Amino acid sequence: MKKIYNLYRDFLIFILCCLISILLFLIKDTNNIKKVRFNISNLFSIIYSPKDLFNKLSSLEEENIILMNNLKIISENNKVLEQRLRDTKKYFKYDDKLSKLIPNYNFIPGRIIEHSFSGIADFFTINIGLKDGVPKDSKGVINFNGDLIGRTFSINDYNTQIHKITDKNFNVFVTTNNGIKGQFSYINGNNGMMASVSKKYEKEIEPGDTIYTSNSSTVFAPNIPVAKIISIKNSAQKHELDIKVKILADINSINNVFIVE
Amino acid sequence: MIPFFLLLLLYAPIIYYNSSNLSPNFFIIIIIYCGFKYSRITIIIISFFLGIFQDFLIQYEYLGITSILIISFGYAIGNIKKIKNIYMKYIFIIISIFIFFYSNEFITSSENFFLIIKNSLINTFITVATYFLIRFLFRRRFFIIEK
Repeated sequence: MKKIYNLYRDFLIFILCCLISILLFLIKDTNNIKKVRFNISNLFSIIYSPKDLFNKLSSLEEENIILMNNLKIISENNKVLEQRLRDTKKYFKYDDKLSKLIPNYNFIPGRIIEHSFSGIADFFTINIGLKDGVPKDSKGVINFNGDLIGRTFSINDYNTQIHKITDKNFNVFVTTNNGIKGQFSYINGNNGMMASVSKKYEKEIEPGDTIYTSNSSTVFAPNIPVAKIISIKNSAQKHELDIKVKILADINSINNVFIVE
Repeated sequence: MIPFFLLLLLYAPIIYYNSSNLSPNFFIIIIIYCGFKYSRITIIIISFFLGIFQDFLIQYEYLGITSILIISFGYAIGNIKKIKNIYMKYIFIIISIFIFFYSNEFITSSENFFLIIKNSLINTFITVATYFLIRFLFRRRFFIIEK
């Protein structure tokens, strides 16, 4: 027996170890085994703690980068919201202000969403259309100060194209405070001219006078400020006065517009 | 030497490849080291405790199963003293490591056959390479025990 044991000792130990392993597999869900596992894990976590600390530090760096990126996004959003708040404060009760400037008309507010600088015409697009109450017929468009900036041109359900006052094809009948009538045409930059004014009115017009839309148009409401006279020349070669004007509205810095209905 | 291997086990880098963790198995390296140094019965007992330790720590779901594989590996490694040629010893060790990894992947992984083979080969390569690196670093000690 002893001889057999010596001969197969290794194999018997091997079988015994395997049997213990199988036994452990069968009783692995018992509370005692779970407790042993818990204790071994605790011991292991103490040895593992330096590496765990290192892992945490490296993940902390990554988290920091993510937080920095989030902060950037939040700051950008904050800037946008601040701008909206400023706009809201500025345009709050716009109806009252514009009604004082141009009485007896309704104003439909809109926001510029796109500028188009085509070679043929100068337009911009606003975010309101027929479904928002924009009339089908062409109407005048003003800024928050009540100055003319163009007229509605092409309208669909959701958007409206505005023909800018700074387009060479843009013309509007205008009048001065004295009732002297003429036609505004754009030249370049912020400059335009008041054409078709007879030389007999030379002494009745002065530089600094404001010109307004006349009441002879179905497109524009009357008395919308258009431009300010900057010079008047009486040229011998011309039959009319040569009147240079400067457009009142700053077309390049506007974000919100109002359609005069 | 064994505590040194255990420390390496904790701090060795793990490669994440194809949703698998590939790293050298230091329990195997310990058993190979013991294979040269101790008798077969000692190797079986060391393998048993290492297997149980690994099961408790890493593969609790397969508690007992992985330890059987490690004990079997230890039993196989216990025979290397009978092989005279050192090259044949290492060929036998590499084949045993591959069989161990394949069996382990086969039991614990739900991947397809080719992926199991691929992962087993990669793990075998990493473990053998790590063993030879350690052998190179402690060549004097290994030279004595391999004799």
